[in-house]
Amino acid sequence: MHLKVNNLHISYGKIEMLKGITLEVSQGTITALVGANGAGKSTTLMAISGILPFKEGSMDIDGRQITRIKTDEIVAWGIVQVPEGRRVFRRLTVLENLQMGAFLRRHDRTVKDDIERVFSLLPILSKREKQEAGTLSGGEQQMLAIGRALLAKPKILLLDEPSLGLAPLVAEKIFDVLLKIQAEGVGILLVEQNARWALEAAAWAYVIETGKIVLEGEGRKLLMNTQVRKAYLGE
Amino acid sequence: MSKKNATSGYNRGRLLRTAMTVGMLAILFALPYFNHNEYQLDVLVSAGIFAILVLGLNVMTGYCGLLNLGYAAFFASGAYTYAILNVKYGLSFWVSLPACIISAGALGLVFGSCVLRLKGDYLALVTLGFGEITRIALNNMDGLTGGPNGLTLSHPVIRFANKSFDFGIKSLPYYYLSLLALLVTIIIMRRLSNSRFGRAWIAIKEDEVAAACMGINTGKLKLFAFCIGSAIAGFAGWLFAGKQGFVSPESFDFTTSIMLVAMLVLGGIGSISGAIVGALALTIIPELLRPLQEYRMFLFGAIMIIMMLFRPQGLLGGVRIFEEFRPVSERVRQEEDEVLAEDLKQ
Repeated sequence: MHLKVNNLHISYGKIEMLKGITLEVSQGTITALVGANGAGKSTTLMAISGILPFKEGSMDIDGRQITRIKTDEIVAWGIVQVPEGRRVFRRLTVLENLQMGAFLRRHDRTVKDDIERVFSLLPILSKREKQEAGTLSGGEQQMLAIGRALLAKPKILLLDEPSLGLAPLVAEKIFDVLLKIQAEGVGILLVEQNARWALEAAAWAYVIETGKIVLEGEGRKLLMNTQVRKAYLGE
Repeated sequence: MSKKNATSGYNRGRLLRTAMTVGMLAILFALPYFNHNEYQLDVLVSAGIFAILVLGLNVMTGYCGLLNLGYAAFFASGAYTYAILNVKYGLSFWVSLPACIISAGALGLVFGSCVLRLKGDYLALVTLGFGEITRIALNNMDGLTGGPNGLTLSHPVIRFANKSFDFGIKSLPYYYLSLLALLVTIIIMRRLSNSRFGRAWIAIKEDEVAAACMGINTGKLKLFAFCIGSAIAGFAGWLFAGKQGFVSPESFDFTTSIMLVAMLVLGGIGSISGAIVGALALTIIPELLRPLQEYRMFLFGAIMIIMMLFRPQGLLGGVRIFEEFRPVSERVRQEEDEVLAEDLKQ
């Protein structure tokens, strides 16, 4: 699957949050989106998911153009978001959370196998299977949020700040998991505060500033860019 | 080995539950034989009708998180549908049932599709307004509803072969009827709450954005919850009108809506048994306090305040609700993560 976003505009009232975002994500690769707070990274993901309606622009999935997006249709297409701040269903158990991920796969008998696969990818979740998600630690919740999204059978996963607020070792574990997911052929659009890691892993990366893409290129090349190093790597 | 034990434990739990349910039912069905007190039975009938209402409200407010302060409007819709069909068109109690459920459900659908865009407090305010408008409309549409004088209805009659049984004004037949109606409602609720809809509702209540990210059509599912909740109110309204033999706008005022929310919160939001216990408690407690005359509402208020202070999750609200009132702090989370990190090292 190949997702292309063309000239996306979004406004909150009079404030224009996105001023024409154009980007592409392909299955099996990691694409990074880096930028400062408030630059419009999360807004971009929310727009792609159809949660925020955009007033201008379009999306292109495998050459099919879409202008009005409904979230449930987008998920059915295989574009699934893991929202910022984990947002697991606190009062549902780990297993129930995972089942919610498969909400649209109604008569699919392979859901059970997929839950087993998520458990083998994220073994800590199988230990917590019957525990309420609200009682999990932050890292475990992030793993659950990723596992839950995987159960929607994504072709492209939109990840918003997966390492936010996590201990470095746990963040590292999350990154390992992301690489495994990519290796299985899922495309990842990654918004990440840890710009160094994101740029290293990304085949292609975009730098966003006040609602506009100001720079793009291969991840490792951007890592060498003095402007990027100054602004996002603290050098 | 341990797995086997776990299964038998599970079966034992289930057996115990079934035994308790059967026992409760036996007691409830046999109760009128031991206690002929007309007044007490009448209170139980009211409690039963309220329990059905609270179960319906629980679908909107308990599962889906849509606070409705005008629920009495849907209750009225069911009651008045039966009353008008009976008085103007001579339709019997039993024949009117589908119309009552459908009219209330349709009202919920139409009203819900207009207002469900609103969230939280705003939705609560609009529903409050809707409840009041409905009551005022019933009060003023004299030609159709009889205005403040209400409508007097015929009693339900069961005809079998050439015999007929008139429900009359005694409480006993209504006791069994409402018990049956409550049972049906409980069965429907149990099925719903275990369905994918039930889980989706809880997900929406927990976090609407996350639910949408999972492909749940939140708009449609909220409307569905609203519609089901209203239809159940219509069912309860039908039963209420049949039992009273009389409907008037004052049965469906703001106090009724608030009382229903209080019953739901007292019993435990989101729990079926909680809804029933809440309805029973708030119907019976004011009756028990009757000897105190006008002071009874003081005591009643005090009981409510004490409840909310010491058991905010409600009488039967499980641990699941409690979690909401005791959020785990970020600091604790990070400590837990350090433990997790240690785990990962090995």
